[in-house]
Amino acid sequence: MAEDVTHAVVELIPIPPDTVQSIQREVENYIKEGLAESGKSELLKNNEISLSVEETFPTAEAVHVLFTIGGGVALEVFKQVVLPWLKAKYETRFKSENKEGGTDEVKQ
Amino acid sequence: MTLPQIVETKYSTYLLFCRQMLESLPELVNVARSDAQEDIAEEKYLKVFDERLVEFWNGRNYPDLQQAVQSFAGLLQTSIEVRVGREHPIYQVFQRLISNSLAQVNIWDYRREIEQHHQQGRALAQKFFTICSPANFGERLTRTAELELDYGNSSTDGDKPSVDLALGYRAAPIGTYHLKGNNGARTPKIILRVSYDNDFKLYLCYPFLFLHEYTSHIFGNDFKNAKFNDGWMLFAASDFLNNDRLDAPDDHPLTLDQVEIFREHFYQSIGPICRKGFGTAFRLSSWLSKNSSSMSFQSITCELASFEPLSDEKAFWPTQFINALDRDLSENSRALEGKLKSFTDIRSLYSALPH
Repeated sequence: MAEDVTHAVVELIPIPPDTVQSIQREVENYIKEGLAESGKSELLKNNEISLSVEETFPTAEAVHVLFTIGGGVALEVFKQVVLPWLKAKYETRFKSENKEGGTDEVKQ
Repeated sequence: MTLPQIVETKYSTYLLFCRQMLESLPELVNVARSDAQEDIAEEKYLKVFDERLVEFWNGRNYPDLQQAVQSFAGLLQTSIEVRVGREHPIYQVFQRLISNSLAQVNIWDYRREIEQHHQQGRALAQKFFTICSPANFGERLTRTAELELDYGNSSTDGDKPSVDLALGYRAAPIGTYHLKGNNGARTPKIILRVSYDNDFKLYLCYPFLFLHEYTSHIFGNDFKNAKFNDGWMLFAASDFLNNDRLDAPDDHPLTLDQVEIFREHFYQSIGPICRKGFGTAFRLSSWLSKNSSSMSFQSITCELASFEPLSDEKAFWPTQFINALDRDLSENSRALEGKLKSFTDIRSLYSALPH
């Protein structure tokens, strides 16, 4: 993976009939679908974008997804493809973005 | 994702007073109960403590820990004095708690405090799995998660944290990520959320919350079977902790209040799917304690926690197993008894369950 790694946390709040559990099960495939539709599947395959769904104590009403993004191209794809794709299906809040070893924080 | 300074100061104060309250609790219980007929007379004083915490969290901000601690001490002292007067033994208990807190300010390290809860939970989780076959878990039982504190949206607007974002949804107090490295290895990271509704009950529950994160999501295999990982395993952790303390009540690292707080308070707020899994585990464990079987609740739990799907199995096999088991437990427990005597592993048992 490229050295300039960025971490971004996206919070997804279920809109019924979605539930925390259904989002946790589906979100990875849903993002794969979004990237495939945009012809950017290779970013996942090459680990330039990877994601991890937070396993929360089961009182949460929101799902947190941590994206690890390697490189400027992947970051642009994340902002222009992944985020809008998620926003189309879920109530989405982009929590924070920071570069490894740096202090950048981007608000939205 | 670090805490804004004003939140950090309040969180540090919260932890300092909660630690002192935990240590004062036996004395508070004794004094409160000797002075009243109710069995849980201390509850009204714990309520006062929590009410002052709400006031403190939502009140003014402080530039440093010294001022924050003095402010909360004043709030608490006045509140107790108004209720019982200066001569009352309860006032003396709170006075000692406040003095001890003030004496700690210069040496207080809230990160060390929270790390202690983390390590207690991790050590208990390792003990939880001692009855399992270690080979089935590989290196997982040696994992240590990195601990990170998070406050809602960690960005700030000037010197004001975005309180609305932090309280705009019911975030889980704790969660685990598994970060994938270049070599595919998964590194666990526990996120501990700080919010302005953190109270003494949550503080009491910290070791259990960490125990759960480790047993369900870090040491145990997690294929996102909510019924198993967040239902069955919650019961298993709660049951383990209860029995573990019963085995050594005088030497246990946790107090009875810390052991019981999940069942008494937090169980009610878990989601419906997790509650189903918790219920199945509870009924099976109760049933097995009264009936002979070649499998124990613990052995079934060990197998489910180390489950890896075979080529013809789905990742949600543990959920299928629990559903099938639940059906027999509810409708055909006599037949289940025979099956539990005949089989010694969960896959053989599943083959005999209705599904």
